[in-house]
Amino acid sequence: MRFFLRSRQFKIILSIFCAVVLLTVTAVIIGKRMSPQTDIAAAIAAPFRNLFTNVSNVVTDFFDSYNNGSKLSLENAELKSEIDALRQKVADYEEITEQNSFYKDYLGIKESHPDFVFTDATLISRDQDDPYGSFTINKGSASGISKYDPVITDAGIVGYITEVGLISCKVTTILSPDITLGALDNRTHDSGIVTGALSFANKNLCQFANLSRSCNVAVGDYVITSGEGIFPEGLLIGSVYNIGIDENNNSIYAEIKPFAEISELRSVMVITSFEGQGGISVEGGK
Amino acid sequence: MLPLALLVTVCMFCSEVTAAISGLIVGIFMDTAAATPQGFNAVTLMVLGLMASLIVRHLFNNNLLSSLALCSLCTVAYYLLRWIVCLAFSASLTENLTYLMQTAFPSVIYTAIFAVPFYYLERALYNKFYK
Repeated sequence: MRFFLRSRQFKIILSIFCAVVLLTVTAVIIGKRMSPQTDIAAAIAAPFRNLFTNVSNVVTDFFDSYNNGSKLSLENAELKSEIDALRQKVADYEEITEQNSFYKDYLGIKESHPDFVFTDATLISRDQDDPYGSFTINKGSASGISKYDPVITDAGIVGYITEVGLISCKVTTILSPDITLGALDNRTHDSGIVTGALSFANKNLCQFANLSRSCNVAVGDYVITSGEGIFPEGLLIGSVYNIGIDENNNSIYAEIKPFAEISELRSVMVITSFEGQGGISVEGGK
Repeated sequence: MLPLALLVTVCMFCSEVTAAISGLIVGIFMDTAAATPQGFNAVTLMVLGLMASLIVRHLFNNNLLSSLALCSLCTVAYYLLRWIVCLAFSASLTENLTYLMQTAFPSVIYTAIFAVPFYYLERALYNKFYK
């Protein structure tokens, strides 16, 4: 072993190690993007990953149709009762027209945000060891995507771009504590911040924190972005699932169930440009 | 962690330089998809590959039991490093223990299981092409 540490081979290994570390640190700190070796590897692996992802989706769909019959029936029954409850809510409000407009605002993202510039992207890989559901998409800087661009689906917010390569990007989801975004309860306009935590991520939930003790947030309320930070205003995040009291500071928090099914995503949209983009990047929830 | 199982079994049959470069290449490809900091997998797998090759040459015999032990040790080392770098300081004690018990340690068992066919495959290739 001592002989090996003095040998030429060890010096070669040590020099390769130092070169890789230097290259990576330089790319991350100065370039604020993926390191060159990772970019090259992503380009080489891209066609294989697309192929394996498509094969995986076909196999998953094939088995889902046989295994999820009872699960789909139960989900269908739950959705029907939820629809009945929503209809009752609509009928109870004084101005039905205002309520229809309320729903239309969220369904017509592009109509209400004509300044948004979208890029479609497909998931090509997901890190199974990451408890927060981070994934990689098949578009990169060549498609106009840059770091901190919001990532959404037609259901709601998913997360934002954390690493940019030439033809692929990594997305950190809202289940991660690295994300902190300003949010509002759409009904009561109580403001707070939405962030992630490991204990919530295990249940596919995120946390709506720093709510005042006099807030009127209720289970079922919709939570939207307030426009603070890197996300544009008015995007759906999720619905309030549960309300609790933070033992550390006696503030109220709510558990948010994101509308976007993060564990089952296949396609997303990246907002590459919107009015007011370039605000303060809000990171580091805790 | 199939790439790690394959890497360790390959490194048991090759020189230190080849093992280090193999770990580096596998790690670079893992970095394209992993949620870890840039270069984490490249550096970690390079070191683990080198260590696997050195341990087989100087400490262990080259047999199935050694491959199982090496795979398990390398997987534990990888997940401990990943836990320290990515999670340890941003989660509570309960959350950390949950992650280790639900994700990290079961992966050690799954990786060791796949080390068995990889070892025999690698040994067959080594005997055919290098002996």
